[in-house]
Amino acid sequence: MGSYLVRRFVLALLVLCLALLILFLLIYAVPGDPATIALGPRASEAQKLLFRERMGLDDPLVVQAVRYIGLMLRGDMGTDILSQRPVADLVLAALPRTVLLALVGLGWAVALGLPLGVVSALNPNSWIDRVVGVISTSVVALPSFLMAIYGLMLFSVTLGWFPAIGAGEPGDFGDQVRHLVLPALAVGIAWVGYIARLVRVSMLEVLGENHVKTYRAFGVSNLRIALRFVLPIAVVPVLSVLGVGMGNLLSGAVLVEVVFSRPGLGSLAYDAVVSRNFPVLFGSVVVTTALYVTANFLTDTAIALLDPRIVEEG
Amino acid sequence: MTEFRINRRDLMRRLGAGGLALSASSLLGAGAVISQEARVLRIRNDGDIRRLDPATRGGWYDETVMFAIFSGLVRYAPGEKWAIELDAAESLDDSDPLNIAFTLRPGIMFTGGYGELTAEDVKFSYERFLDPAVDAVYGSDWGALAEVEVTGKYSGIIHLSRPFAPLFTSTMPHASGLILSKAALEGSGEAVIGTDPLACSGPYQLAEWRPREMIRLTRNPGWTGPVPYYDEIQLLPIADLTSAETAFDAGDLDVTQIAVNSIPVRNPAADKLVVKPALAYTWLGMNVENETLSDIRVRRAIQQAIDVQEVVEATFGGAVTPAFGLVPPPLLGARDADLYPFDPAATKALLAEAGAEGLTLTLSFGADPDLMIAAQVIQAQLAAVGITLQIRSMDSATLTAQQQDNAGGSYKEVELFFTTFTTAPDPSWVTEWFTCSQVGVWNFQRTCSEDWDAKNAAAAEETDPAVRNQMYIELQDALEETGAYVFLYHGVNAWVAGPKVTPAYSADAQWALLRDFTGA
Repeated sequence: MGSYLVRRFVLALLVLCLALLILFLLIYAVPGDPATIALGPRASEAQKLLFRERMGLDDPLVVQAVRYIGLMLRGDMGTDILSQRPVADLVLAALPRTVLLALVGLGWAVALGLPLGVVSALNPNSWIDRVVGVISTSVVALPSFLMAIYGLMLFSVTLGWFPAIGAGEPGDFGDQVRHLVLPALAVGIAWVGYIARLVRVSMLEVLGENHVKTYRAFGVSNLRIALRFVLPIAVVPVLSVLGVGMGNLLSGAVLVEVVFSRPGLGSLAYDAVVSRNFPVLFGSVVVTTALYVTANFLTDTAIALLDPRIVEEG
Repeated sequence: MTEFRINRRDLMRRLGAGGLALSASSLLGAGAVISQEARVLRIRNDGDIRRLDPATRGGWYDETVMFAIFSGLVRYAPGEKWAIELDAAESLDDSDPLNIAFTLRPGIMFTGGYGELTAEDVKFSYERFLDPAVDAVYGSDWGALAEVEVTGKYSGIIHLSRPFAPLFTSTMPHASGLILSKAALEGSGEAVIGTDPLACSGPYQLAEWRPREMIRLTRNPGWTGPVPYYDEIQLLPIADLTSAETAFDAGDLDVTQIAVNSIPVRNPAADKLVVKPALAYTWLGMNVENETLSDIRVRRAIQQAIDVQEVVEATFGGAVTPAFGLVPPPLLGARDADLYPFDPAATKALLAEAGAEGLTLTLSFGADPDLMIAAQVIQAQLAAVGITLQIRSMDSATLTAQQQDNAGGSYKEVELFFTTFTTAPDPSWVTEWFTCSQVGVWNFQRTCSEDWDAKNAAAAEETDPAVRNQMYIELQDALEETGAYVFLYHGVNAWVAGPKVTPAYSADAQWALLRDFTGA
């Protein structure tokens, strides 16, 4: 188990480094002058030159990359070129909100998708199974930003149940929950369908195995078999997909945060792209990538714990 | 249509009226508005604060906050006209255009224990625009300043090295005229202010800033001027107008600016809809250094192939009117007719003369739904005279980067393009982008004439409004003569407010003047 986790950890680090390299090259290939955007049209050429020099934007790409990696290793993500605040402060302030959004989105997906999958698997080829199938396929095809907009129009504007913007007052738990319901639903809705379909298929496979037939022969009820003996095994592939899904949830959070004006990592990265605020963009993308890699690593660990055969296979 | 023809007599009358109002409300004191529960205003800001320094500020998002937390000698008055009124000054004498004497109201206190606002603070605040350490982006606002002479604790004289017409239109009442605490800034060890204002001299103070989430202003306890209605103002940075309008409809905002295309669907009375002509100008530019467009006959042909009235009508319905120049109509120097209006017959003749029939051109612009409609209308109009127009809607920063690619030369590939600029309320800030020194910087038409530049510089120093008016008209005539400009529209700014709010905006409704908001 130990060597398996070490191998996974090293692989995660390699993935992170490669992703950062690609991102760095991509970000600096984008046309647009940060100095012009930061200082505005009234700035003189001399002021822009000074700004680029101060921010190190006029150095060759390699120099910038090496300097940035050096800073990152010291825990410094650079300085926001617009407000001159440390990028780490901005990212750390936004990070918990996005993680919470993604996790609650995932929670929505599991809370709705898991029961649907179980019901579907326990009633294969029935009308219930077909209805669940239609619902699952429909929500999988629904982009999160579209769900965000419709959710906003229905539940905020028309019904007035939930707030339309923001993340809630700090320290007011109830207010923060109210601000989280709609964005999280928008982020997680597509995964309801994925999880329902995966759970169904996986459960049907396990339900056909010999040990399940043995439980049946001993007169154990179908529901108890499903929940106690089948679901824990059937959920393993779902966990694996959720690891990858975390990345989708984080990317889905970008547009959802913009639509709901939630100050998270996604909206931070979006604003940074528009304003060519490279240090903030890079900082937010680095952290998002790290989150994604971490989620995958944790998923691998969880799967290894649930199914030791995977460790033995390598 | 609103006229903006400020002269000295008007100015002093407005200053006097403002001063009276100020004195009267000062006498009322803070106790006059004590209420049982806090009055809170929630309003959209078009972005988060970046730099609250008058010399290096960002955009409107900073200025809206700055106008609430800092005082200037004078300020823009809310209303339909570009009027100014006294703020921290109790008197101002501009009878000599080179020496402006002022006297401050005693008793205005900075927050943070930085003491009383004095003439030394005025001197410090204005002269720092010329300090290389500050590296003021808005340095040209005080480019004519020789010095501020302090003649007493509350009095001083602003000495100019040359006449500077925008002083009372776009320098002193604007954010460049706001007064900082000398003690606070010098004590900070920094040359400029960031997002911490250090010490506030206006009716509000910055109580809390949650980056990208909320800017909370509360009353400045040391403020002795007119007492604002709201105890607290929450500015929510929302860049997207549609998101802000949705938040308004959901009851999360009391006031917000809305998109022009939302105007027809709002209820003017219920939504307290306010629509004012913007200090903006949108035009179709032609790159004279592009091979195809280097022939003035081709440019003129395109100018006369475009029916601006139809373009504007199709894009905005009746909400916006066509432009006849760059200078927006409320300002001195606005034109009322084009030299080369729509004339498809002339276009065909010019194209034939230039041997340029069957042209294919590309129109580039930053992605914007309004501009996309305008582009499609122009595409149809050019097709009618045999020109094929390809539309290239793209990220605006990427387009600007190409237009500014002077070293790489890719700017030459840009042919036609849309540009929208906004301006401070003085025509000098409209025309300054079209000089030779701006070629490849912000002058993407790349038209250049030293005579034009000299006349433009002279217009900024001309203090006779009638002469100045004519100079700016002629400057725009000359630009149109190059064939590289088709003036499209100036646009409008529109706002909606909730039933319990009586809003107050600048004459162009670009800024919400927060100190002047009251209840219904």
